[in-house]
Amino acid sequence: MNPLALDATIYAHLPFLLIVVSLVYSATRHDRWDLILREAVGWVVRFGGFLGGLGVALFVLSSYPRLGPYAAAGFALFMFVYFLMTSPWFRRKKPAPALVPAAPAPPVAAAK
Amino acid sequence: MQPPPRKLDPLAAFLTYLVPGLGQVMQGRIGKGVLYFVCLYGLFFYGLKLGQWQNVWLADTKNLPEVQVPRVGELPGLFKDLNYRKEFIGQFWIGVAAWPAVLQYLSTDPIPSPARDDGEWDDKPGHRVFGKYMRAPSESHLNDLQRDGNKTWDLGWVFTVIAGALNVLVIYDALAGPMVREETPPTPGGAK
Repeated sequence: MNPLALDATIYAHLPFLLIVVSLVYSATRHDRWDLILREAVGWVVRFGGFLGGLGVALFVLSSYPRLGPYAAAGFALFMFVYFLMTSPWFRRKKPAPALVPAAPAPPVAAAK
Repeated sequence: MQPPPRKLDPLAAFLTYLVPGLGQVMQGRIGKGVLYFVCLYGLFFYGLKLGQWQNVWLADTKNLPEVQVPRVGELPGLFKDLNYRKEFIGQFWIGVAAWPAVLQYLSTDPIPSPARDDGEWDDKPGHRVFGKYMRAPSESHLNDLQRDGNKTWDLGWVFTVIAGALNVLVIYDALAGPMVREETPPTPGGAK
């Protein structure tokens, strides 16, 4: 039997932890609700992706030991690409703000 | 335009230490205060429940062997107790919710050494208000909990420690505001 499945029930508690940590951490960084929720969703995806990827890799390794080297290589490649894509190098840069032409100077009153 | 830094608010920080979110409510940030309260107390008490309400405690370890730390020497009183139960260093920061453990620590006898642990400790009557809630269990009882459980006892204390650690961030939020100061859109008439 898969040893990971023996205690599978304890993993059911983790989503609650994931959501609470993401929400509270995001709320300590922003005051606006839209920014809090956006950042919280981002953290849930990042945490969830990392832990889920780890879980899948461990499951494959323990269920199919012969696939071990291939699974390890695939997992390493996946994590490398994942972190590369989420690194600041690949983030889309904000376009520079458009230059606003200066407002025309108010007409100077003619000297009397 | 970025607003100026907030003035530090030690009173709100202290209130948030006592009850997560209370300082934010006092500052008028009611939604955030309620969010912190629900999330952190939810996490803390959920962790307590997973640990069968027996994973937040601080024990008087007078009867246990002395602890030697390199360069520091023998750990005195409270430091020895905290070394025995390091998790409480994180759990303490949840505030009032962890105070029963402090009261139990101050009012109960030292736990028996593992060599003389015959189960009598767990049969002793508890605190007159809190009973056995957050009282240090004996070594034999701890062994039973970990041997017979399905690891949720350990997961539970992790939840409680994370709740306490998160409250430190929340205290900072009450003290100095959020980490990112959001830019406010310029007013039509310009800043005044």
